[in-house]
Amino acid sequence: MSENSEHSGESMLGTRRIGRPHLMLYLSISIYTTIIVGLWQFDQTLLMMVSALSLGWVAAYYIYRGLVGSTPVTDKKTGISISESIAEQNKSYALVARKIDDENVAIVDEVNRISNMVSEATTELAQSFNTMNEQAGQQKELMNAILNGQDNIDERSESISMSDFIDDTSSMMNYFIETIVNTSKESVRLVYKLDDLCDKVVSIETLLKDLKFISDQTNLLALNASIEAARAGEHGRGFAVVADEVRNLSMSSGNFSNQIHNVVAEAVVGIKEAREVIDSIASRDMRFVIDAKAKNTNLSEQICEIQNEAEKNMHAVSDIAGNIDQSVGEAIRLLQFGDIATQLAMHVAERSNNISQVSNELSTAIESSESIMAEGDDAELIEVINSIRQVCESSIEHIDNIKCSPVSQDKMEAGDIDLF
Amino acid sequence: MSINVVRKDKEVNISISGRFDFSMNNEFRKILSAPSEVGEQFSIDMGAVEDLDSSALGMLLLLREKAGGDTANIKIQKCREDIIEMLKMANFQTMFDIS
Repeated sequence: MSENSEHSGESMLGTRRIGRPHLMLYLSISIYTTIIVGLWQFDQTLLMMVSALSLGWVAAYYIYRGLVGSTPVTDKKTGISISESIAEQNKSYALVARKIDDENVAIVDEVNRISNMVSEATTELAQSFNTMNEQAGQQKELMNAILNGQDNIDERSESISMSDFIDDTSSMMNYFIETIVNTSKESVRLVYKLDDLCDKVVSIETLLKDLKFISDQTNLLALNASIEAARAGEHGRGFAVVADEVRNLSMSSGNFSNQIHNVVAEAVVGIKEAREVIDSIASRDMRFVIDAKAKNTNLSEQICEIQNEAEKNMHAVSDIAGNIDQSVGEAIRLLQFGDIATQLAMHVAERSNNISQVSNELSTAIESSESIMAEGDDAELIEVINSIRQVCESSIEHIDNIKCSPVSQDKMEAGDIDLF
Repeated sequence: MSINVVRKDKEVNISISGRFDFSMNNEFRKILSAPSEVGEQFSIDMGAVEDLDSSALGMLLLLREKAGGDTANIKIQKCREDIIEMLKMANFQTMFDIS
């Protein structure tokens, strides 16, 4: 603008034909003539001095005209007059204005493309973040379902947790051991009873020996009785029959006790066999039970450990899912930068349009001045220059009046975002 | 494989060695069939016992019944670690004074 005013000052000096200095010159000559005529009446010496001074003033004026020149000022190097160079410059201005206009169209186009791309990208990002958020939520729900266990299973059947299973196994193992030990105890007791029974049976054998002794003695007595009956002859015949019968009875008794002896011997053998069977029932190796129980205990501990670890990890996963949820929410909130960027882009386009408008006004003013320039009238030229200056001033005012940027953010930190 | 019993007033000290199983049945029965006294105290030294089976545990339970069941006072002493394990597995630590 300051450059522009310099140019208009230069054109004032270089192009005028009749101006205020001419009028001033004619006015001062008239005053001097009046004074000289006045003085002529009084003093000739004074007249001479005033005449000399007047001539000096006239000489000074022409010297001044010779220095400054009433002809148009020219560039000493190229010889082009200032008015011509101003015309050239105006052409350059018009060219620049057109370029600015073209550039502005390109800027607006590109800014709109940026705005569209940011808008689309923001929408898609928001969609994919929302999907991510939903999936994280589903993951969290699943984890919670696993953690809170067995709610669904409970509805269908009785819940069997791993620890319950281990407890059941352990108590079954204890019951098994207890049963083995009690069976052994009762078996030992049974063996003692069998031993007692065996003793009783063996005592029957002793009794049988007594019985055999009695039957042998009876047999002997019957034999003696039959001998005595034979000695008695005819009188002892009846007694001999009795003695024979007694002898037969004793022999039957002997046979009978022999049979009993055999049966008792068999019974003793049977009892001993039964004792052996019970012995094998009572004698169970306890080592394998120890090993089994130790393995069971070890397995239980491991399973508990694994279960606890798994539960801990699932809690951690659930927490992570929660964090993802939070992060995605934060990310979606931050996506509002898309709106801000779009608004900024629109503002850039608006500013660019303003620049274009100002440029158009200027170029119109310059073009309209070109015909006046050709005529070369100083006064009209000054008017044109002034009108251009006015256009410049109104342009500055117009640009200053453009609303300040609607978006003050220049950072995307959380909490810095205002909604528009 | 032997069993040794020493009686002194109401104290009965039993020491067992070798494998404690059904083969000690007859020896053990003598202890069981001995007349019971009120306040009898049994002390079984199992320091030399190398192994035992379920019949041994059954015999010990019969001894406990003879000594008064829940009121019985029976000490099982000097057991090896694995023997203690076996006795504990059968829950004997609640019925006997095991050391």
